[in-house]
Amino acid sequence: MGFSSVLIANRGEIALRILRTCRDLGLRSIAVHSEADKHLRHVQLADQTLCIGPAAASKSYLDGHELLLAAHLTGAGAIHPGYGFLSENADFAEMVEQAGLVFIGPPASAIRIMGDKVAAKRAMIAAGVPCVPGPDRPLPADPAAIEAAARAIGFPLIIKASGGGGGRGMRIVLDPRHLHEAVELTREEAGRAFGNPQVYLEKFLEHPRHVEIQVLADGHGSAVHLGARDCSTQRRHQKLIEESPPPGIATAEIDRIGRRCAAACLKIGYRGAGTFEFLYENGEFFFIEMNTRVQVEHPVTEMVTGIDIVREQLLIALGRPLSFAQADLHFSGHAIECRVNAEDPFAFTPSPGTVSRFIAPGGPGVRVDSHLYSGYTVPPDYDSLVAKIITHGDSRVQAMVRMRRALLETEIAGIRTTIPLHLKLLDEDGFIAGGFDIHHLERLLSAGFGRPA
Amino acid sequence: MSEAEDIQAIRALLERHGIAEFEYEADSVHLQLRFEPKPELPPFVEAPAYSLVTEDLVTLSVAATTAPAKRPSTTITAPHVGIFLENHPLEHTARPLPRRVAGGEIIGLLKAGAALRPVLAPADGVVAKMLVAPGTLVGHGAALFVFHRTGE
Repeated sequence: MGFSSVLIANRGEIALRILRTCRDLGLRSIAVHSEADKHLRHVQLADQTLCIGPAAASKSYLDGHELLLAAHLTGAGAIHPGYGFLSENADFAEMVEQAGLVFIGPPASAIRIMGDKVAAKRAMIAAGVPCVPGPDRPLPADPAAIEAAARAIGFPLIIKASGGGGGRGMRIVLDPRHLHEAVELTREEAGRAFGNPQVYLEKFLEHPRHVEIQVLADGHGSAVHLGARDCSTQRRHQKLIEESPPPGIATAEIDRIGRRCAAACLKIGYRGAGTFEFLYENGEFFFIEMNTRVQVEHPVTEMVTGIDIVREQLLIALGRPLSFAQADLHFSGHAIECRVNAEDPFAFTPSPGTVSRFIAPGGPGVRVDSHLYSGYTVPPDYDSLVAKIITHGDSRVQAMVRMRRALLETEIAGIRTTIPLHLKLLDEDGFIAGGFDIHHLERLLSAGFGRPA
Repeated sequence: MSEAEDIQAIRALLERHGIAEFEYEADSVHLQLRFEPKPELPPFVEAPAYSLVTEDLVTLSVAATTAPAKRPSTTITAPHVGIFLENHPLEHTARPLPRRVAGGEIIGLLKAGAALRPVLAPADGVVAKMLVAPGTLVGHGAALFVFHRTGE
């Protein structure tokens, strides 16, 4: 294996995050970017840059052929896909492998299994990871068989697309009379959206939390978990605040499910960083999907474990065995991440534009992962995430106190951001208590949270 | 022929072939002709205005009222990433500039791996100048040529 240069096939804060660790490891960094992104911070810092296409992601960051040509032309030895874009595209990972380059992520075969939610569920059941009640196979065509499967689970239930994920391709059925219509609709939508009309049924959990386990596997027979993150502060399936550890869940309980996830990695031939996402309700974990890439919220895990996850990704891709075992890992304190999006804080409409002034927060326990600088223009073409503010403290309360300080210190002029929403949430009783379900924020917003009285 | 007659003859040739700029250098003379739109001048102004900069350097500017060089120059940019080549690797004849080209004509190539992707003339016109050296790795949107469009 072995490589000395990394092509960063992404943009924004994660591209800068990857570049920084490349520098730490003495790896040459190659920034490929769209026409709209030539002023990105990591493009300014990279050892080599190449514009690969126009602003439209389909013609730049999502164009696998162009990315591979760019890798060839720049002599890149490896490609880091970051998150989003092509990071979970098995065909792209396979193209990279076949071109003789290193894809910084799991083998294409593992991405393919986890990308098919039914196959993933079957693999998890086989590995002893608890799943949401429901059959581990796609729904048959026969209406009587569909009804029988639904009765076995009970209502409410959820119809999910095998090719979906990340909150897409799902439909909840509360009333048995709407079952067939809902199955037909979801099949049709899934066929159009994912090119795979297969759907499956699961019990619909009404008040779950979103709790996920971070894993690392080295491809030499070692896999560890790095504890859990609670990502229940969501709006329309988009996470806004994440924390580690999840409040109110015993460390031993997290360790038990975490070890099962690590064991599952070995069973499915997984390599690299990954996340097992669970719904957590009434003291039980239910697997929903695996993310086969680095996640936006990885810093909270880094803060409580002291492990640089991107560094581990690169070392694993270089063929090195993990330098620590499960028993060597120590979890310390509490970390929270607030995603600062270029959006109206309560209406959530995008707010691209020029940042006339940016002053990052600092001080004890504060980390900022952001590509912003004064004078930078946030383009309208991509995801609105512009900064992640992460705080760490001995306790959850200390992490929250530091977060309030950091958010109040942050100046981002020229665009609107979600900082006012985060500040308001830090004062909200449910958030202060912790352990709320994934509908908490939506409930608050529909009750007028944040609207002027 | 007198010097003025020479210049008029060159001007006629430039117009006929749609060439926007002309530069000539010899031992004692440097002649530069450029068609420039002069909207502030009345359309009947035909006479070439020229100035003698030094006794052996002539700079001449022609106020054009007719079509060929009315449009400002544009740049032709790289449609893809690649190593810029002015010719196909198997073609060894030089292709001097400036050169008249037809719309859609291949005026350069971008090599990436085994693929050679063409750079096309966007319209009928004159490729006046090459902006990057052959063999350079260029990104999408990099300026490759100065181009003057002719015709509609």
